[in-house]
Amino acid sequence: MLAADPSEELANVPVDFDPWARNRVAEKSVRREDFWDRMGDAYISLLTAALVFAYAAGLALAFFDQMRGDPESGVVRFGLGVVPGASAASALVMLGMLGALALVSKLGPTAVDRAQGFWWLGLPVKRTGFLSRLLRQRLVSTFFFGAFLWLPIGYGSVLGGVVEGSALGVWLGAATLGLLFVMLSLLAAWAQTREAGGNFRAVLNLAMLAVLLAYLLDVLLRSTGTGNLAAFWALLPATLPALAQAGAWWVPVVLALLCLGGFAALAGQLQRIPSRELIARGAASEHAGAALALMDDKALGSAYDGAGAREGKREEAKRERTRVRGADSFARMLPAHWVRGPYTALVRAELLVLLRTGATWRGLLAGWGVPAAGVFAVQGGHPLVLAMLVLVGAVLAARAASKAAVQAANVPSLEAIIPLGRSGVRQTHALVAALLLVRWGIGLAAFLSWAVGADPAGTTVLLGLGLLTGFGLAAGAVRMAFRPALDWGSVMLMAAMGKATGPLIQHFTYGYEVMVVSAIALVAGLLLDPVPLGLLGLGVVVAVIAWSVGTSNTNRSNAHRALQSQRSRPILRDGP
Amino acid sequence: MDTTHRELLRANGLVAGYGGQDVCGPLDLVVEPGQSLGIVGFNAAGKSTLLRTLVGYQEPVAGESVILGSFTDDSSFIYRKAVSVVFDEDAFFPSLSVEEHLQLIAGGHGMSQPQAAVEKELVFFDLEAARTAYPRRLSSGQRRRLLLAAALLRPSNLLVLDEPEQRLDPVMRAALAARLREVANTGTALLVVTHDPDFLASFADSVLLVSDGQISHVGVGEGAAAIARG
Repeated sequence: MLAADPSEELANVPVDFDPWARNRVAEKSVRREDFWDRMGDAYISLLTAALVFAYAAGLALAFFDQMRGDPESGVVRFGLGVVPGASAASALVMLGMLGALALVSKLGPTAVDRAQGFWWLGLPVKRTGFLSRLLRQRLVSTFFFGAFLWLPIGYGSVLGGVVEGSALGVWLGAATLGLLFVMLSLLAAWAQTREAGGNFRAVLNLAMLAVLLAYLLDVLLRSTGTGNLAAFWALLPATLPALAQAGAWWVPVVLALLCLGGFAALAGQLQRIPSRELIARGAASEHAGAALALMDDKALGSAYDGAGAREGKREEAKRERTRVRGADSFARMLPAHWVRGPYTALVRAELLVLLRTGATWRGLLAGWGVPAAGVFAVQGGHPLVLAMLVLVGAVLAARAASKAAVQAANVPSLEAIIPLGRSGVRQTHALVAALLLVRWGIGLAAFLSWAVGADPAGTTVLLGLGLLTGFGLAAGAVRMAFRPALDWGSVMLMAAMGKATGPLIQHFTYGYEVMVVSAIALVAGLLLDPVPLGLLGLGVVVAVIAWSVGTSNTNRSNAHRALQSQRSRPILRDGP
Repeated sequence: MDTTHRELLRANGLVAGYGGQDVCGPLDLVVEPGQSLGIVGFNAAGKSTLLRTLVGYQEPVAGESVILGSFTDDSSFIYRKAVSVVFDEDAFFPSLSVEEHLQLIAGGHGMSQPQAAVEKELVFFDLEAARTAYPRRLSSGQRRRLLLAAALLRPSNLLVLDEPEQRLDPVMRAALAARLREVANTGTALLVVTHDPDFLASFADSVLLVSDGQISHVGVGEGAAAIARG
């Protein structure tokens, strides 16, 4: 122990010691054994990236190919689509970049894992060395991620003849987007050094809101013929990748210099980031990383939702100790005395969960906002674009309404303590989601009926289809929530035999296929003029089938499945 | 900073809580070298919150906490040199053995005879047989002992432990309590949250009782009785 008088011992700080180097030496023997495993991992990663690129580029090419032609040949009323495609794309990319920055800020970018948090951060050594290494690793990953995102868009747009460009230009565009992502990460890291992560994310939210409001203002200005915001959209950094792709090689060069300078300036300040911030971001990153490794989009969503609010949630939990429970407005809307049995108890509890979850509201609003924004773009009325936007909106809304079912799937005790059969519980989950999604569907149908200029009869049909879509989406949400766990052992065995793709796709589309099919009748109604009454019959059939498929899911919750998988030998059963 | 004064930790009107909401306090406290302070209370009384606030891991709702005159910032080198903290952690490097974890701490604190210090803790915490084992091979109790070994291995002025007796068998609990007493005798101050009345009585010379949002200074006997009452 130190002497009672600390002055003597405390004189020898900081200690000249590099924990990063120490760990590398200690881990060297272990790492050598894993060399071929690492090579195998690298091979699989490259193969996966190539496959994803091939699919994405093919889809992008097909999309751009379809978009060629008369932009006015859409299904929405003449004159509604006023925002040019370039401006709409700039707004979309800007929103995507701000969203990516919010994600980066929630997950770090400067962060330590739990072991580093305990064993390294308590040492009286300079943190700059290992923190800058950790940050550099993340920046490199971020660059490749951003660059990879641009490649299918770039190749699709050039090969599809939408823009002029060359293969070199596409790579310049990719490098530019990658560097933009790096700059965003450096910005987030700078906020960490100022202990301003929370404020930074608040500013990002405001910036996203500002982009949406600017889009709305542009629509109003153009609709009334009083001006436009074309210059504003052109000035946004979101236009830089396209500029580089068009041949402006200096764009990535300037960005690269800015990134290098930014990193050099920032590295010396990393010491200022408090341990609690590094540990909190690291925990969020580990959660997200595990979800990615398992390819579990539900867990990934939870990691994103929980990451930024990790500290906030703990504070909220502590505050709850001193607050009178059930005193909020939602509890007053759904008073406890309405409960008459297990079904109503479950409905009330799940509705309260959904209504109190901010992500539910954001998801439902996004589900409306995506198709609405498209309607006001020049090419948004293109049948393919409108159909895609409605489907994307439907999936966003259904995911938002699935939060309670997802929680129930993750916590088996929630179902175990209610004296209801599994089928009854699934029906109740779907009913709760439907209570929200039916309203969402009718609201969307009402707006789109106006947008496509449907007559009163057509509007009635579309409203009915919106209602039916809500039921189908709710069933899809429950099916997605109770998706069976993927048996990786079986998949790897099948991959060796060359037939793993089918089960993998089946796994990742579980629930989403029901959501998409449920919205098909509504999409068809929007594209047909006049809207056939028979679509209502089709909508009823689809909704009934979707409800049946979505709620007859007999998969048990995650914990039960984990137990079952330990007891069974699926590899032998599913093998060739 | 004046590092020669006798106060290791001072709390002035400290109120612990979250987001402006009080959990417990106010607390006025001075911790001097060699003092052994136990913190007791019911579940959810706010003991860990108080501990985190005292050592600067959390912002106080009101008042202030001062360590070594001014440093409650864990990004400062002197704070990290002087304060050894173990909360309810269970984090290890999967590719480092038990011994290598301890060597990391000894090297990182610039100890003059690091291996001797590591050997001493391996013996004390009965981890000799597991010295080359990786964390995944350790039992829950062994992992707990490894964390405690790391905290006791390094030099410190203030040792802060949150329920160190958890997951330890009775023999190791008794040995740890005696070790803490010995540590205090060398001049290191102790701040320890515990739920074990015997453990408390073995090392503490004063107690903070956290109950109903209030913090009171009580004797060791009264603190132990409060734990026993549940």
